[in-house]
Amino acid sequence: MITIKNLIKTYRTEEVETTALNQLSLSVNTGEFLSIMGPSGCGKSTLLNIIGLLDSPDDGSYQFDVEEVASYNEKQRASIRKANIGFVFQNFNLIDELSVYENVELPLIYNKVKPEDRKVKVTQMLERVGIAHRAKHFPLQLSGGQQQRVAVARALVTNPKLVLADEPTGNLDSKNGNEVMELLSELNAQGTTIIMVTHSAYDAKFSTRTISLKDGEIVSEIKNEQKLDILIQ
Amino acid sequence: MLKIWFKIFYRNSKKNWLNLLVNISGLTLGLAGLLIVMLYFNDENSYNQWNPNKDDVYRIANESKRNGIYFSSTSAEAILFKSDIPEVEETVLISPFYRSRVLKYNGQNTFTEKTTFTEPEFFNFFPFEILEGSSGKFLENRKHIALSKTLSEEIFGDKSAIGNLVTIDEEDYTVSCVYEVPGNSHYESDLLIQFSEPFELHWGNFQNELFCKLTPGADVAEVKSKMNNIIIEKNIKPKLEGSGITLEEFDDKYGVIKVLLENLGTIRLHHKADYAGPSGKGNYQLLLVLTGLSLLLILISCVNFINLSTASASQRAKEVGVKKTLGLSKKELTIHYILEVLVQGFMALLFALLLVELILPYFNEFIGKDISIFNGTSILKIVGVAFFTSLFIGLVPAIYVSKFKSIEVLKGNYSRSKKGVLVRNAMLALQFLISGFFLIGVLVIYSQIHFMINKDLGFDKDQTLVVDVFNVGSEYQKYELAKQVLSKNSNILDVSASMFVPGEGNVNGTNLSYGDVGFNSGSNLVDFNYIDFAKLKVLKGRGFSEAFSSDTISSIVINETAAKRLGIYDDPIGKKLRVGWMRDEDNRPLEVIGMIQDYHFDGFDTKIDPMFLLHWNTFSFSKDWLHAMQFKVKSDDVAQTISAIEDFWKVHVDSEYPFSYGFLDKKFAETYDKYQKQQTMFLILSIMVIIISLLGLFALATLTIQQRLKEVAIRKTLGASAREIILPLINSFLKITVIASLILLPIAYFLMQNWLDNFVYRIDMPIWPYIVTPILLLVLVFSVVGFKAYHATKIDLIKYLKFE
Ligand SMILES: Nc1ncnc2c1ncn2[C@@H]1O[C@H](COP(=O)(O)OP(=O)(O)OP(=O)(O)O)[C@@H](O)[C@H]1O
Ligand SMILES: [Mg+2]
Repeated sequence: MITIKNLIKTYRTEEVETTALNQLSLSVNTGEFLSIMGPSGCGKSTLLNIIGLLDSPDDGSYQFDVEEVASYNEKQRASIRKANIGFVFQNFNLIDELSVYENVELPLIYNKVKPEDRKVKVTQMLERVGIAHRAKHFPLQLSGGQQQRVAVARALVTNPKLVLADEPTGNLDSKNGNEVMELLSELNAQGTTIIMVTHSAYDAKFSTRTISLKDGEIVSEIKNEQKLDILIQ
Repeated sequence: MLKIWFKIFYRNSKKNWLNLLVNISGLTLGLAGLLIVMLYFNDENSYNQWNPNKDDVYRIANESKRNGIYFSSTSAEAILFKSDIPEVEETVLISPFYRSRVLKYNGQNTFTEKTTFTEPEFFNFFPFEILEGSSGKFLENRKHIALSKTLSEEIFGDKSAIGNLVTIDEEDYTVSCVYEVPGNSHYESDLLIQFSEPFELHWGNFQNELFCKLTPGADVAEVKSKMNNIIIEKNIKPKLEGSGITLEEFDDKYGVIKVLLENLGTIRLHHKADYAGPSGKGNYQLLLVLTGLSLLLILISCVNFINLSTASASQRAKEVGVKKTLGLSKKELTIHYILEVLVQGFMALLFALLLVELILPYFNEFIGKDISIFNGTSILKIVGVAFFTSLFIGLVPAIYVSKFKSIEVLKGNYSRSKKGVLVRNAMLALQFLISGFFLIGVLVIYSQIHFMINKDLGFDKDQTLVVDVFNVGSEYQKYELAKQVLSKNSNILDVSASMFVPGEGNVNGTNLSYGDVGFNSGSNLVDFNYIDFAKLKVLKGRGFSEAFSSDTISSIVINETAAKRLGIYDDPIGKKLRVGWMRDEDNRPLEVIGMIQDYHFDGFDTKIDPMFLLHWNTFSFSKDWLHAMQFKVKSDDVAQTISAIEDFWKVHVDSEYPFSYGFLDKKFAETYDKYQKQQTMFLILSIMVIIISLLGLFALATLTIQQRLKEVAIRKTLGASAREIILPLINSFLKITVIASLILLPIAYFLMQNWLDNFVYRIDMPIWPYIVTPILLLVLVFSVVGFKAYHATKIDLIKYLKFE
């Protein structure tokens, strides 16, 4: 589904030049659950943002499905993103002024789904993540775990081919974190491709493959056929 | 402490330079506007304030049911009020309008436009500063005159003027004193000439302004009733004797005159009569409106200020939170904040003073005055206004900011308070409302003035050259000569003369009666050709003609209004009328030979009064009243035509007075000059208000959109299109605009209806300003906010999605 070759991304500020991704190559197949690990600042988020078409690389090739998207402009990227990709963030990124229901409904509106279909989909999705009883609440009235479930529901409601999650459990305690991870692996079992950035080896165990980055390069790759303990650093 | 405060203020200002710009520029414009209006007001209020007699001197106006209020009085009143009322110390009659005269001295002619004729007691009422000679000397002899310093220097240079003989109108006068007018004054004459003889007691001639000096502390109401009593006892009752008419019947029919006492100290701005001396009258209503408008301007900038600071307060919440945890008290926080605002207020004040200093020359030219920024105490007042305004607009957000709960703020957990947003929106709506009102105002005023300028006045004012005839003697003969000679000039199509040139205002009023019905009517003396010359429309009968010898003896032409009031509208021809100028023994009938269509002989902001026309020769005494000749000229070679007339003029008409002429359409345009000035002022103020409002809107939109950038980023990641992002951002602003417009329309309609009611001849309220204005507001709001919102769609997503 995703084929990345020799991807380069550098950030320039007045004083320093940081190479966030250095000739990175990676491919992800449909149905995989990939986790990305590595020390802080190694380029995980940068990679995820590029995969999610929120950002574009400086050099290298990126094939999404069969399209070469590395050189796409903002508008073209937006249209692929809208149709194919769902996001889950560490800080949830829900809109405070909108209710749980409205937050989840939002991507459907932007994808021009008919109102009657929207209702069915949102309700189903809220039930699936177990937050239906809170549909009328506002984000600030929910716990972190509940908010993240809403964020997951929002990411999934359009039935995206690919879900990207940047430290989805980073702001949650282990119990709430577990719930979210179970939700993600359940999704994966149903066929959604997932790429997740995490610092937690425990969370990484839920995935089918784990790659580790350092200084913008992949330094190791492990297939999690069984639930293995993996040491970090 | 202060250093840290200043550092934070400085860095904050650098970050929020837009806020600072909006705050300061808004306040600057507001303060500058208020200062100018205050200076103007102050100047208008300063009239006669220098005069030590101002509290005790009253001008007498006369009011009657029939004829309204006259600003002038009779000699009988002057004489009897003084002799019969103990509280009246002294009275004086003074000619109300400036005249032009030429002074001859040593073979040299000096022209002045500001001559005033007066009774000798002038200086007892207007004690000008005497530089040379004395007012006592002036009193001694009716051939003594007084000169202003300017005129004296013009004639005598730096030599003494006193005792010199000058010739005016072929008479010799002695200069008895030189004076300077200490300040703005009812009279600011350059030359004072005394009436040649004391007045005889006469009840019929309302020609001069009458001033009475009352004993200090006199009861004005009582004096007034004594005066009214004298008029009834000495004027009305003797007339009624034996006639069988009661006082009430007389009052109904002719109107008993009652006096009004108008205090010299306040007459400039508060007068019931339509005229307040040759220095002109102040427009109190306009001053109030201008003051109100400039206060509105300040209000709007305050609203901007408060709006911006509360909106940006959440951005500063962190600073406040930290300061609070470090132990700063609420009071100290408030003081810090107010200090910041005071600094901005002070900067605005400086800019405002600078701005006013720059604008004043233009403003002075515009209103025809000479105001300096240091006049009176206005500058002190504006400092006070700036201080208290800053204090006020500092206090509101300061309290708002200092109320933040420190823990929540530090957790980043302050949510935008619903109440704050509501207040902010209400203030924004208020601004839109005011801006919208100004827009509608400008459009309605524009429509009315456009209507006035293009209205058919009922007479022809094109290509008509009006040349002033001064007091040169045998004016009518000179006119006849000029007509005879100049008519031959191929560039001059026609020559005529009428006593009053349209638009000049003071149409001489006199009684016009038919049988029992009589009233005060405008009068005009005209040449045979005048009706054709001015293209007046004859509705019934005919105009004057040389073919009828009776037309110079017993023919009269009246306008529609006069015919209606006389009750002869349907069949006016042949009716026999009388006019007030006829002596009692003068028995000739004046027969109506024609009725002309009403025309605007007196400017179009006044109602068309009844009016009659007579030929110049009808009364022998009235021939001196010719003070202008009119020439219809060809449109090409106008300059040459004028110099041809001037050449003739210098030789045959007048070699002393300056040759003074104007075109009738331009002269007439002066009658709506006042409204055009109102329009200009309104336009300038509206542009200011709209700019300030838009600046405020721009800054507020910037802020609110900044606060919502994260939301924008989220929506964008979820696939929202640019339109889908922009609309919710603009939405609330558009809603406010619509609501403000809905409130605005009826208010504006009501107020503008009121304004239009000031006009006798007015347009129907135009509807289009009420459609255009909301649309314009929406477009402006849409473009300003849309511009910011569009920018918001271009943000760097990752920056705002990142956990912070
Ligand atoms: N906008 C930016 N401007 C400059 N440098 C940046 C920017 N964003 C990221 N970087 C740099 O790029 C490198 C990679 O950043 P990235 O956010 O991908 O790290 P990460 O692996 O996600 O770290 P963490 O685990 O702390 O989230 C870092 O060295 C960072 O300082
Ligand atoms: Mg990261």
